[in-house]
Amino acid sequence: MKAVGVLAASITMFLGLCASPKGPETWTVIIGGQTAGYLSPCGCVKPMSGGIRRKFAQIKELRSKNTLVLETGNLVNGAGRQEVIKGETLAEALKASKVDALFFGSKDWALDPGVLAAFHRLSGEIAISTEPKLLADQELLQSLSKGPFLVGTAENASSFASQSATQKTVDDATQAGLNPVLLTNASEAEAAEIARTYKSLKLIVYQSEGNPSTKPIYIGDTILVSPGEKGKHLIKLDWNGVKFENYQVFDLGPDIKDDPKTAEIFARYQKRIRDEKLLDMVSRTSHTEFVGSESCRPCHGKEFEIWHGSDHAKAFDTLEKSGDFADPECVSCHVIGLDSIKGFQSKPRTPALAEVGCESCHGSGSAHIKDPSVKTPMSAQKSCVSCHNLEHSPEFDFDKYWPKIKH
Amino acid sequence: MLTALLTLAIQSKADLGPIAPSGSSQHFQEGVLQASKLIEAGDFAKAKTFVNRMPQTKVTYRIDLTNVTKERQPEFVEAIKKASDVVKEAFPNFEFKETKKGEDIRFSFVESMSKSELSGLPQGAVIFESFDSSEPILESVISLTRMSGKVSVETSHIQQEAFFAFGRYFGVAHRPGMQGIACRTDGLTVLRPIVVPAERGLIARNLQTVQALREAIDKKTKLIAARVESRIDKLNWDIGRVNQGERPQILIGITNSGNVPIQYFVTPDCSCFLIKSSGVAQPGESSTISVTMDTSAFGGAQYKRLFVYTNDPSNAVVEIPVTGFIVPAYRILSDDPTGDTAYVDDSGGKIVRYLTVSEGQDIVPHEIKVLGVSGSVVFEPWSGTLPDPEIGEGPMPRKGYKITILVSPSGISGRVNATLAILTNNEGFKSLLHGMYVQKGIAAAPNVIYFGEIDHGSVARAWTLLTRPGRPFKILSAKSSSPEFSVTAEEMPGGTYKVVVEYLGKAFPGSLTATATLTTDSPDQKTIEVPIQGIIR
Repeated sequence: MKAVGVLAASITMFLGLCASPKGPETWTVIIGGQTAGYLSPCGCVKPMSGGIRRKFAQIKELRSKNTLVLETGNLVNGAGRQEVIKGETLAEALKASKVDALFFGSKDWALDPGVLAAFHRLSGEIAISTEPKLLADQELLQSLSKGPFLVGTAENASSFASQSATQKTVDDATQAGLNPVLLTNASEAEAAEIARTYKSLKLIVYQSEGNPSTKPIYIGDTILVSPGEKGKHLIKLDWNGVKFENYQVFDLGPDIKDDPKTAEIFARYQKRIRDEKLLDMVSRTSHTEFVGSESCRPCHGKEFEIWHGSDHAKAFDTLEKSGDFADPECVSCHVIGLDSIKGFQSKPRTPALAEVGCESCHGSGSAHIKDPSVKTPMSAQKSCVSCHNLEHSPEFDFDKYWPKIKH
Repeated sequence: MLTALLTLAIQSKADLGPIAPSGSSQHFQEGVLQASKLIEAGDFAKAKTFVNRMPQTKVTYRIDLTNVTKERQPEFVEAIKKASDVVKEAFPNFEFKETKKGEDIRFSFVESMSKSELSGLPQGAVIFESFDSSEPILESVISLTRMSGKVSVETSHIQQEAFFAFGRYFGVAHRPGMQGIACRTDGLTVLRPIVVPAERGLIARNLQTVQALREAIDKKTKLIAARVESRIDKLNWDIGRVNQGERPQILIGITNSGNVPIQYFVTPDCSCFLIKSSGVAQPGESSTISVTMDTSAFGGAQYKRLFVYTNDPSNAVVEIPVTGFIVPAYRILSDDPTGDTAYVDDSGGKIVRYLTVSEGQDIVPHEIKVLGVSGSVVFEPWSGTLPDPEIGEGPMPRKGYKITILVSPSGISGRVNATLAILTNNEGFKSLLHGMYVQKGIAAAPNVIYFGEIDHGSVARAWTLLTRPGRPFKILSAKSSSPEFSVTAEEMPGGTYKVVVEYLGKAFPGSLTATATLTTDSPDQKTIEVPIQGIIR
């Protein structure tokens, strides 16, 4: 026995001496996702972060010789035609940028199987699911192996199906001599639990709200990472051959120049939205009639001039410049009365309503211009937050913003 | 010095022959054992003939197209080549060559085959393996029809069967599942040809095993054949009648009565099993495989299977059926014959569902919402008689709640997903979700077939699903408004049609649009049009 031990030690030592001076191969892993339909930054505060044009430009810049790029869902934020087109657009961009693996989120799975199959096809068939999932008659790949990694998925931490999937990822990686990476829709706490249970996992990508953690989270040797919500950030990690290190968060701010290829794909999205006339299909629940700000001018000249000099008067121009003028999600906060069948339709048809005008805050002026004793129906101060909400105008404070348009 | 050390190391282990890994096929494992026994007996010449019948990296194959029509012959040849290309992608040093005689692998075709005990369907293909040098090492006989002769075999099925046959040649045992060289199906599902990482490792280990035998023969080194002998207890399991949410345990014993360790792993056919999936049993020892079954996600009669893979040729793959009945805690049922899809017209619609609660379960809803469509929900205690076809129960008295959803037609275009969310007092079943579709008429999803970018000159394929669940319809014809596309409609189980659009690769660069027009036997929707969009680069 002792002789065998000495022999083994000698061989090990000798092989060690003969080993190549080259260290283990290093890899870069880039993680993005949780786009939830936010293909473009939107809002009234600068700088706004996010958007797929910046994201794929940044990915291009971060790529090294050995790179693994992972994307997590949700691609979309619900059902409906616009969400489908958004999902298809993002999927196309993933393919164009050669992203390696995509993991659908729960909102994605709520879509029709044919729709999800289209996302999968347009992404270059990179969607994976370790829990067996069928899209009509086509099953998703259960894992991805690239370089030293085997990437698997688990919907959550607690269900048996997910635990089996995690176990399978770990087992398959071990059998193949690879390092297991898990993409999951679980929360940070659940991801930590997974890391404590499956200690050989090297990386867990989980779902979170808000911005990503500024510091790396390690449970043993497993690093826990989330790209944060609405596709505003990317995470970059370096693999040193044993574990992940150099956790970096990249904010997708305006300093990043748009990726030309993704910009082309995004322009196609805008065109599809226009061509399919989604703006005409908006659910209009009221019959309120609007008159436009010009009608207010004869009696409220001073107020009109102040308004005319403000950004509100140019709100629709902003969308024309960006190409989003037919996107119902954007238009609702840039015009008057999109929720009414007598409100904004399109700039050529209702030019007087292509603005954030007097009636956006004060309500319909149609009764008031016929009889000035009839007051406009809305409290202007309260109406601000319908657009200046936490989502699009997180820094909104009436007292600070009011002086800009005081009239 | 290194050579000397390595020689010493090899000699110190040289008394025991190589062992085939678990996951390798029974035929391969038998081959390793037989070759080892011949080497042990010193019959190196015979052992060499034997080992020459085992997998190697240069493979020849012959395609016997006798029963195949002339028109289909080229596509069959191409499909088999494509299958070999996929293997080559995983193992770039492998060589595949089509030959006219003396082949390692033969592919042949027959009109139809008998039923498979495993799948319950007519067999799509059968593999024959042989150590007799007058025969091919492996023959894959592929059926030209599937589903009792109703469906002609597709090129993708030929590719799948050839892919599986190549895997088997390299000693990979059949495994349940939908992806990998170890998987196949007798049905119509098209499996994606890919060598998964674990299979890559297995094939490499199989080849190393053969190489070890070959080296022993070349050097005329006598080996003691490694005899892996195992006994597996509990070859079938009945979990009995358990309540939904319980976690019955299944224990399978493996006893090693051989002279080398037994390696084993277990693969289930259901993700409801949680298994510590692999292990080793030392000679003279027993090991227990513990499998826990999660019953929280389903109910009714169960028939599931566990597959134990070992490196014992007589127990290379052992199938263990698991049966039982799970009593569901609750069910969300419908008395609507259209199933999960509710139809609305321009004035909206009413959907009724029943939450039935099993005897002894405390599940009381306190709030019920419908998500995905506009509508209101009311619910009230209910008792009555309903069938539960999903778990094979006929009409019987049940108790629970009647849930009425009044759906507004606004915002529904074609087919949309809606979810009934039932919030209850029960901690274990806090939120019960029930998915359904709300639809107006025959609908395509997605309602536009979008190709994205297509490279000029290349062929591309995209599809959509056409449905009207509960009200079957037929597609009578399918055509494209543009010669750049071909359109076909394939009927799938459940009355769904898969409308496949193929771009033929001949359009000039630029934006390309067309319409797929489908005629139906439905008087109120004689024609369905689905726009096609793409960009040719």
